[in-house]
Amino acid sequence: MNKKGQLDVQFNLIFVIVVGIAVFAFFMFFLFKYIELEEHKEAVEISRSMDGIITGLKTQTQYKELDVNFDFKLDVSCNEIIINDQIPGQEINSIFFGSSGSNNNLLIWSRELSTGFSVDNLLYLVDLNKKYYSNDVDFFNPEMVDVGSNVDYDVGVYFGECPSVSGKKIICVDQNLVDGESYFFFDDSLIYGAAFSDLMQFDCSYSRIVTKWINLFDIYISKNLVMNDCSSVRSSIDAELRVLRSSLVLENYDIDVSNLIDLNYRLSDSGCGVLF
Amino acid sequence: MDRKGQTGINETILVMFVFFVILMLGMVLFFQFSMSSSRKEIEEYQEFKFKQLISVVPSMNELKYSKLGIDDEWCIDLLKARAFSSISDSYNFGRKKISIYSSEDIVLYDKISSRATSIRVVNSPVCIYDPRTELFSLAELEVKWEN
Repeated sequence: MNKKGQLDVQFNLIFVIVVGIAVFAFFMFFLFKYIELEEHKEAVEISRSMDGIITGLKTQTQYKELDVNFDFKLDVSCNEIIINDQIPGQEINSIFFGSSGSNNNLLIWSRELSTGFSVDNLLYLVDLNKKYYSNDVDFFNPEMVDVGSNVDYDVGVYFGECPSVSGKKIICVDQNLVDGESYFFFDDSLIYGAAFSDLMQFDCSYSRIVTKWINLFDIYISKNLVMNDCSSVRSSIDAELRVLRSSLVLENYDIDVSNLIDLNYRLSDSGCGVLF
Repeated sequence: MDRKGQTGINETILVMFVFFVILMLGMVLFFQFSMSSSRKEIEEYQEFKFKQLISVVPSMNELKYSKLGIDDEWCIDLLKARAFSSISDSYNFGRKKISIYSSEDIVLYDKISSRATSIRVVNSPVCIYDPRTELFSLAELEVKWEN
Protein backbone atom coordinates (compact mmCIF):
# COMPACT_ATOMS: atom_id res chain seq x y z
CA MET A 1 0.00 0.00 0.00
CA ASN A 2 1.38 3.43 -0.87
CA LYS A 3 1.65 6.31 1.63
CA LYS A 4 -1.57 8.01 0.43
CA GLY A 5 -3.50 4.75 0.74
CA GLN A 6 -2.19 4.26 4.30
CA LEU A 7 -3.22 7.80 5.25
CA ASP A 8 -6.72 7.21 3.82
CA VAL A 9 -7.15 4.01 5.86
CA GLN A 10 -5.92 5.74 9.04
CA PHE A 11 -8.29 8.66 8.42
CA ASN A 12 -11.20 6.25 7.83
CA LEU A 13 -10.37 4.38 11.04
CA ILE A 14 -10.20 7.55 13.15
CA PHE A 15 -13.35 8.87 11.50
CA VAL A 16 -15.25 5.63 12.22
CA ILE A 17 -14.05 5.59 15.85
CA VAL A 18 -14.98 9.25 16.47
CA VAL A 19 -18.37 8.94 14.77
CA GLY A 20 -18.96 5.61 16.55
CA ILE A 21 -18.27 7.18 19.96
CA ALA A 22 -20.51 10.16 19.12
CA VAL A 23 -23.35 7.87 17.97
CA PHE A 24 -22.96 5.65 21.06
CA ALA A 25 -22.93 8.70 23.35
CA PHE A 26 -26.02 10.01 21.63
CA PHE A 27 -27.88 6.72 22.06
CA MET A 28 -26.90 6.52 25.73
CA PHE A 29 -28.02 10.12 26.29
CA PHE A 30 -31.25 9.41 24.46
CA LEU A 31 -31.82 6.25 26.49
CA PHE A 32 -31.37 8.04 29.83
CA LYS A 33 -33.56 10.94 28.75
CA TYR A 34 -36.20 8.55 27.52
CA ILE A 35 -36.20 6.63 30.83
CA GLU A 36 -36.51 9.96 32.67
CA LEU A 37 -39.41 10.99 30.46
CA GLU A 38 -41.19 7.67 30.97
CA GLU A 39 -40.76 7.98 34.75
CA HIS A 40 -42.18 11.47 34.53
CA LYS A 41 -45.17 10.20 32.57
CA GLU A 42 -45.70 7.41 35.10
CA ALA A 43 -45.55 9.95 37.94
CA VAL A 44 -48.22 12.08 36.28
CA GLU A 45 -50.38 9.01 35.66
CA ILE A 46 -50.03 7.84 39.28
CA SER A 47 -50.69 11.35 40.64
CA ARG A 48 -53.81 11.62 38.52
CA SER A 49 -55.08 8.23 39.73
CA MET A 50 -54.28 9.15 43.32
CA ASP A 51 -56.07 12.47 43.02
CA GLY A 52 -59.16 10.83 41.64
CA ILE A 53 -59.21 8.37 44.52
CA ILE A 54 -58.46 11.01 47.16
CA THR A 55 -61.25 13.31 45.96
CA GLY A 56 -63.69 10.41 46.07
CA LEU A 57 -62.55 9.33 49.50
CA LYS A 58 -62.90 12.81 51.00
CA THR A 59 -66.68 12.56 50.82
CA GLN A 60 -67.10 9.35 52.79
CA THR A 61 -65.08 6.79 54.74
CA GLN A 62 -63.99 3.97 52.45
CA TYR A 63 -60.91 2.51 50.84
CA LYS A 64 -59.67 1.97 47.33
CA GLU A 65 -56.63 0.30 45.82
CA LEU A 66 -54.34 2.29 43.55
CA ASP A 67 -54.35 0.28 40.36
CA VAL A 68 -50.99 0.64 38.58
CA ASN A 69 -49.08 -2.16 36.92
CA PHE A 70 -45.57 -0.87 37.46
CA ASP A 71 -43.24 -0.36 40.41
CA PHE A 72 -42.89 3.24 41.40
CA LYS A 73 -40.91 5.11 44.01
CA LEU A 74 -42.99 6.90 46.59
CA ASP A 75 -41.55 9.53 48.92
CA VAL A 76 -43.75 11.19 51.49
CA SER A 77 -42.74 14.56 52.80
CA CYS A 78 -45.13 16.17 55.26
CA ASN A 79 -47.78 17.62 52.93
CA GLU A 80 -46.29 16.38 49.70
CA ILE A 81 -45.99 13.14 47.79
CA ILE A 82 -43.03 12.71 45.44
CA ILE A 83 -43.40 9.98 42.84
CA ASN A 84 -40.32 8.67 40.97
CA ASP A 85 -38.21 11.57 42.32
CA GLN A 86 -40.19 14.06 40.22
CA ILE A 87 -39.68 17.45 41.85
CA PRO A 88 -41.81 19.37 42.72
CA GLY A 89 -44.02 16.74 44.29
CA GLN A 90 -47.76 16.56 44.41
CA GLU A 91 -49.16 18.71 47.20
CA ILE A 92 -51.85 17.00 49.21
CA ASN A 93 -54.22 19.41 50.90
CA SER A 94 -55.54 16.65 53.13
CA ILE A 95 -53.68 15.38 56.13
CA PHE A 96 -52.29 11.97 55.24
CA PHE A 97 -50.24 9.12 56.64
CA GLY A 98 -47.92 7.04 54.49
CA SER A 99 -44.41 5.68 54.22
CA SER A 100 -41.68 6.13 51.63
CA GLY A 101 -40.35 3.28 49.53
CA SER A 102 -40.78 1.35 46.30
CA ASN A 103 -44.29 0.23 45.70
CA ASN A 104 -46.80 -1.14 43.28
CA ASN A 105 -49.38 -2.17 45.80
CA LEU A 106 -50.96 0.73 47.61
CA LEU A 107 -54.31 1.09 49.26
CA ILE A 108 -55.75 4.51 49.95
CA TRP A 109 -58.10 4.64 52.88
CA SER A 110 -59.99 7.46 54.47
CA ARG A 111 -61.28 7.72 58.02
CA GLU A 112 -62.95 10.59 59.78
CA LEU A 113 -61.29 12.12 62.83
CA SER A 114 -64.01 13.50 65.02
CA THR A 115 -63.48 15.03 68.44
CA GLY A 116 -66.91 16.41 69.25
CA PHE A 117 -66.90 18.06 65.86
CA SER A 118 -65.35 16.65 62.71
CA VAL A 119 -61.68 17.66 62.35
CA ASP A 120 -60.79 16.01 59.05
CA ASN A 121 -61.13 12.95 56.86
CA LEU A 122 -57.64 11.56 57.29
CA LEU A 123 -56.02 9.71 54.43
CA TYR A 124 -53.89 6.62 54.78
CA LEU A 125 -51.56 5.35 52.05
CA VAL A 126 -51.34 1.73 53.14
CA ASP A 127 -48.37 -0.28 51.89
CA LEU A 128 -49.90 -3.66 51.07
CA ASN A 129 -46.46 -5.26 50.76
CA LYS A 130 -46.12 -5.09 54.57
CA LYS A 131 -47.63 -7.42 57.13
CA TYR A 132 -49.56 -5.93 60.02
CA TYR A 133 -50.29 -7.47 63.38
CA SER A 134 -52.22 -6.46 66.48
CA ASN A 135 -52.97 -8.34 69.70
CA ASP A 136 -56.49 -6.96 69.30
CA VAL A 137 -57.77 -9.17 66.49
CA ASP A 138 -60.38 -6.64 65.41
CA PHE A 139 -57.92 -3.78 64.93
CA PHE A 140 -56.73 -4.61 61.39
CA ASN A 141 -59.29 -5.61 58.82
CA PRO A 142 -57.93 -8.72 57.00
CA GLU A 143 -59.97 -7.76 53.93
CA MET A 144 -57.98 -4.56 53.73
CA VAL A 145 -54.41 -5.43 54.78
CA ASP A 146 -52.22 -8.51 55.05
CA VAL A 147 -52.53 -9.52 58.72
CA GLY A 148 -49.47 -11.43 59.92
CA SER A 149 -48.97 -13.75 62.90
CA ASN A 150 -47.49 -12.59 66.21
CA VAL A 151 -43.97 -13.44 64.96
CA ASP A 152 -44.25 -12.72 61.24
CA TYR A 153 -45.10 -9.04 60.78
CA ASP A 154 -43.55 -5.69 59.86
CA VAL A 155 -45.77 -3.43 61.94
CA GLY A 156 -47.17 -4.43 65.34
CA VAL A 157 -49.87 -2.60 67.28
CA TYR A 158 -50.10 -3.66 70.91
CA PHE A 159 -52.79 -2.89 73.45
CA GLY A 160 -51.91 -3.42 77.12
CA GLU A 161 -48.47 -4.93 76.67
CA CYS A 162 -45.42 -3.36 75.02
CA PRO A 163 -42.90 -5.89 73.71
CA SER A 164 -39.44 -4.79 72.61
CA VAL A 165 -38.75 -6.37 69.23
CA SER A 166 -35.91 -5.26 67.01
CA GLY A 167 -36.32 -4.78 63.25
CA LYS A 168 -40.06 -4.23 63.48
CA LYS A 169 -42.17 -1.17 63.96
CA ILE A 170 -43.91 -1.36 67.32
CA ILE A 171 -46.80 0.82 68.47
CA CYS A 172 -47.77 0.56 72.13
CA VAL A 173 -51.20 2.14 72.46
CA ASP A 174 -51.60 2.19 76.25
CA GLN A 175 -48.09 3.57 76.70
CA ASN A 176 -48.63 6.10 73.85
CA LEU A 177 -45.42 5.04 72.12
CA VAL A 178 -44.57 4.90 68.42
CA ASP A 179 -41.18 3.26 67.91
CA GLY A 180 -40.17 4.47 71.37
CA GLU A 181 -41.33 8.06 70.73
CA SER A 182 -44.14 9.47 72.85
CA TYR A 183 -47.38 10.61 71.17
CA PHE A 184 -50.77 10.86 72.81
CA PHE A 185 -53.37 8.85 70.87
CA PHE A 186 -56.51 10.93 71.31
CA ASP A 187 -58.30 8.93 68.64
CA ASP A 188 -57.98 5.49 67.00
CA SER A 189 -57.32 7.19 63.69
CA LEU A 190 -53.92 8.23 65.07
CA ILE A 191 -53.03 4.63 65.92
CA TYR A 192 -53.75 3.68 62.31
CA GLY A 193 -51.71 6.72 61.24
CA ALA A 194 -48.75 5.51 63.28
CA ALA A 195 -49.07 2.01 61.84
CA PHE A 196 -49.21 3.10 58.22
CA SER A 197 -46.61 5.88 58.17
CA ASP A 198 -42.97 6.70 58.74
CA LEU A 199 -42.22 8.27 62.08
CA MET A 200 -41.33 11.62 60.47
CA GLN A 201 -44.50 11.66 58.39
CA PHE A 202 -46.56 10.70 61.44
CA ASP A 203 -44.98 13.50 63.44
CA CYS A 204 -45.75 16.05 60.70
CA SER A 205 -49.35 14.88 60.20
CA TYR A 206 -49.89 14.83 63.97
CA SER A 207 -48.82 18.51 64.13
CA ARG A 208 -51.06 19.37 61.17
CA ILE A 209 -54.02 17.71 62.89
CA VAL A 210 -53.42 19.69 66.07
CA THR A 211 -53.05 22.95 64.09
CA LYS A 212 -56.27 22.25 62.21
CA TRP A 213 -58.02 21.32 65.46
CA ILE A 214 -56.97 24.64 67.03
CA ASN A 215 -58.09 26.49 63.86
CA LEU A 216 -61.48 24.82 64.11
CA PHE A 217 -61.76 25.96 67.73
CA ASP A 218 -61.01 29.52 66.54
CA ILE A 219 -63.66 29.22 63.84
CA TYR A 220 -66.29 27.92 66.30
CA ILE A 221 -65.40 30.62 68.84
CA SER A 222 -65.94 33.29 66.14
CA LYS A 223 -69.15 31.67 64.94
CA ASN A 224 -70.49 31.38 68.48
CA LEU A 225 -69.82 35.05 69.15
CA VAL A 226 -71.90 36.12 66.14
CA MET A 227 -74.88 33.93 67.04
CA ASN A 228 -77.09 35.94 69.39
CA ASP A 229 -79.75 33.47 70.51
CA CYS A 230 -79.69 31.43 73.76
CA SER A 231 -77.11 33.79 75.25
CA SER A 232 -76.54 31.86 78.51
CA VAL A 233 -75.75 28.60 76.68
CA ARG A 234 -73.63 30.54 74.20
CA SER A 235 -71.50 32.04 76.96
CA SER A 236 -71.00 28.57 78.49
CA ILE A 237 -69.98 27.25 75.06
CA ASP A 238 -67.61 30.17 74.58
CA ALA A 239 -65.92 29.46 77.92
CA GLU A 240 -65.69 25.74 77.15
CA LEU A 241 -64.27 26.33 73.67
CA ARG A 242 -61.62 28.67 75.05
CA VAL A 243 -60.58 26.24 77.81
CA LEU A 244 -60.28 23.35 75.36
CA ARG A 245 -58.38 25.48 72.87
CA SER A 246 -55.94 26.60 75.57
CA SER A 247 -55.30 22.95 76.50
CA LEU A 248 -54.40 22.15 72.90
CA VAL A 249 -52.12 25.18 72.64
CA LEU A 250 -50.38 23.94 75.81
CA GLU A 251 -49.95 20.53 74.10
CA ASN A 252 -52.37 18.82 76.45
CA TYR A 253 -54.32 16.69 73.98
CA ASP A 254 -56.12 14.60 76.58
CA ILE A 255 -59.23 16.76 76.52
CA ASP A 256 -62.82 15.87 77.34
CA VAL A 257 -65.27 17.22 74.77
CA SER A 258 -68.41 15.66 76.30
CA ASN A 259 -69.47 18.93 77.98
CA LEU A 260 -69.09 20.78 74.66
CA ILE A 261 -71.24 18.18 72.91
CA ASP A 262 -73.89 18.43 75.68
CA LEU A 263 -73.98 22.22 75.35
CA ASN A 264 -74.38 21.91 71.58
CA TYR A 265 -77.35 19.56 72.11
CA ARG A 266 -78.74 21.99 74.65
CA LEU A 267 -78.81 24.66 71.94
CA SER A 268 -80.79 22.30 69.74
CA ASP A 269 -83.20 21.40 72.56
CA SER A 270 -83.80 25.11 73.21
CA GLY A 271 -84.67 25.71 69.56
CA CYS A 272 -81.48 27.70 68.93
CA GLY A 273 -79.01 27.28 66.08
CA VAL A 274 -76.43 24.61 66.86
CA LEU A 275 -72.73 25.34 66.65
CA PHE A 276 -71.58 22.13 64.90
CA MET B 1 -5.66 -1.89 -1.22
CA ASP B 2 -6.62 -0.71 -4.69
CA ARG B 3 -8.30 2.58 -5.46
CA LYS B 4 -11.68 0.93 -6.20
CA GLY B 5 -11.68 -0.86 -2.82
CA GLN B 6 -10.88 2.36 -0.95
CA THR B 7 -13.66 4.22 -2.71
CA GLY B 8 -16.05 1.40 -1.72
CA ILE B 9 -15.07 1.71 1.97
CA ASN B 10 -15.45 5.48 1.83
CA GLU B 11 -18.90 5.15 0.28
CA THR B 12 -20.00 2.64 2.93
CA ILE B 13 -18.77 4.91 5.73
CA LEU B 14 -20.53 7.88 4.17
CA VAL B 15 -23.78 5.95 3.77
CA MET B 16 -23.62 4.76 7.40
CA PHE B 17 -22.81 8.27 8.59
CA VAL B 18 -25.78 9.73 6.71
CA PHE B 19 -27.98 6.88 8.00
CA PHE B 20 -27.00 7.57 11.61
CA VAL B 21 -27.46 11.32 11.19
CA ILE B 22 -31.00 10.71 9.85
CA LEU B 23 -31.67 8.20 12.66
CA MET B 24 -30.45 10.68 15.28
CA LEU B 25 -32.56 13.46 13.81
CA GLY B 26 -35.56 11.14 13.88
CA MET B 27 -34.94 10.25 17.51
CA VAL B 28 -34.50 13.90 18.49
CA LEU B 29 -37.80 14.76 16.81
CA PHE B 30 -39.52 11.81 18.49
CA PHE B 31 -38.12 12.83 21.86
CA GLN B 32 -39.24 16.42 21.40
CA PHE B 33 -42.70 15.23 20.43
CA SER B 34 -42.84 12.99 23.54
CA MET B 35 -41.63 15.89 25.68
CA SER B 36 -44.28 18.25 24.37
CA SER B 37 -47.03 15.65 24.84
CA SER B 38 -45.74 15.03 28.37
CA ARG B 39 -45.73 18.79 29.09
CA LYS B 40 -49.28 19.02 27.77
CA GLU B 41 -50.28 16.13 30.03
CA ILE B 42 -48.76 17.90 33.06
CA GLU B 43 -50.55 21.13 32.16
CA GLU B 44 -53.84 19.23 31.83
CA TYR B 45 -53.20 17.63 35.20
CA GLN B 46 -52.51 21.01 36.82
CA GLU B 47 -55.70 22.36 35.26
CA PHE B 48 -57.56 19.34 36.62
CA LYS B 49 -56.08 19.92 40.10
CA PHE B 50 -57.05 23.57 39.94
CA LYS B 51 -60.63 22.79 38.92
CA GLN B 52 -60.75 20.16 41.62
CA LEU B 53 -60.40 22.90 44.25
CA ILE B 54 -63.96 23.89 43.42
CA SER B 55 -65.13 20.61 44.94
CA VAL B 56 -62.46 20.44 47.67
CA VAL B 57 -63.14 23.85 49.21
CA PRO B 58 -66.82 23.32 50.16
CA SER B 59 -65.96 19.96 51.74
CA MET B 60 -63.42 21.45 54.16
CA ASN B 61 -64.48 21.13 57.78
CA GLU B 62 -63.45 24.75 58.29
CA LEU B 63 -66.31 25.77 55.98
CA LYS B 64 -68.76 22.90 55.80
CA TYR B 65 -72.23 23.15 57.26
CA SER B 66 -73.11 20.48 59.81
CA LYS B 67 -75.92 19.99 62.25
CA LEU B 68 -75.32 17.80 65.31
CA GLY B 69 -72.52 16.03 63.49
CA ILE B 70 -74.54 15.37 60.33
CA ASP B 71 -73.25 17.11 57.21
CA ASP B 72 -75.44 15.70 54.46
CA GLU B 73 -76.52 19.07 53.06
CA TRP B 74 -73.17 19.79 51.34
CA CYS B 75 -73.38 23.52 52.05
CA ILE B 76 -70.96 26.18 53.20
CA ASP B 77 -71.68 27.70 56.60
CA LEU B 78 -71.61 31.48 56.12
CA LEU B 79 -70.35 32.23 59.64
CA LYS B 80 -67.63 29.57 59.43
CA ALA B 81 -66.57 30.99 56.06
CA ARG B 82 -66.34 34.44 57.55
CA ALA B 83 -64.27 33.16 60.48
CA PHE B 84 -62.05 31.12 58.14
CA SER B 85 -61.22 34.17 56.04
CA SER B 86 -59.51 35.73 59.07
CA ILE B 87 -57.26 32.70 59.72
CA SER B 88 -56.67 31.49 56.16
CA ASP B 89 -53.19 33.04 55.97
CA SER B 90 -51.85 29.96 57.70
CA TYR B 91 -53.20 27.72 54.90
CA ASN B 92 -51.39 26.99 51.68
CA PHE B 93 -53.35 26.43 48.48
CA GLY B 94 -50.62 28.06 46.43
CA ARG B 95 -51.01 31.28 44.45
CA LYS B 96 -54.77 31.38 44.38
CA LYS B 97 -57.69 33.51 45.41
CA ILE B 98 -60.83 31.82 46.65
CA SER B 99 -63.97 33.91 47.10
CA ILE B 100 -67.63 33.43 47.81
CA TYR B 101 -70.19 35.81 46.33
CA SER B 102 -73.51 35.76 48.14
CA SER B 103 -75.50 38.25 50.23
CA GLU B 104 -72.06 39.22 51.51
CA ASP B 105 -68.86 38.70 49.55
CA ILE B 106 -66.14 36.83 51.42
CA VAL B 107 -62.54 36.39 50.32
CA LEU B 108 -61.66 33.04 51.85
CA TYR B 109 -58.04 32.98 50.75
CA ASP B 110 -55.89 35.37 48.77
CA LYS B 111 -52.29 34.72 47.85
CA ILE B 112 -52.31 36.12 44.34
CA SER B 113 -49.54 38.65 43.80
CA SER B 114 -50.47 42.14 42.63
CA ARG B 115 -48.11 41.73 39.66
CA ALA B 116 -49.83 38.60 38.34
CA THR B 117 -50.10 38.69 34.54
CA SER B 118 -51.97 35.51 33.72
CA ILE B 119 -54.86 34.40 35.91
CA ARG B 120 -57.26 31.53 35.32
CA VAL B 121 -60.72 31.60 36.82
CA VAL B 122 -63.20 28.86 37.57
CA ASN B 123 -66.65 29.43 39.10
CA SER B 124 -69.26 27.14 40.52
CA PRO B 125 -72.61 27.58 42.23
CA VAL B 126 -72.58 26.51 45.89
CA CYS B 127 -75.18 26.19 48.57
CA ILE B 128 -74.67 28.54 51.50
CA TYR B 129 -76.29 28.38 54.92
CA ASP B 130 -76.76 31.29 57.28
CA PRO B 131 -77.10 29.89 60.83
CA ARG B 132 -78.59 33.16 62.12
CA THR B 133 -81.60 33.00 59.80
CA GLU B 134 -81.40 29.20 59.26
CA LEU B 135 -81.83 29.84 55.55
CA PHE B 136 -80.13 28.06 52.68
CA SER B 137 -79.36 30.09 49.56
CA LEU B 138 -77.35 29.95 46.39
CA ALA B 139 -73.93 31.57 46.15
CA GLU B 140 -71.03 31.58 43.74
CA LEU B 141 -67.65 30.09 44.57
CA GLU B 142 -64.80 31.51 42.55
CA VAL B 143 -61.23 30.22 42.41
CA LYS B 144 -58.55 32.27 40.69
CA TRP B 145 -55.19 30.76 39.90
CA GLU B 146 -52.04 32.69 39.10
CA ASN B 147 -50.06 30.91 36.39
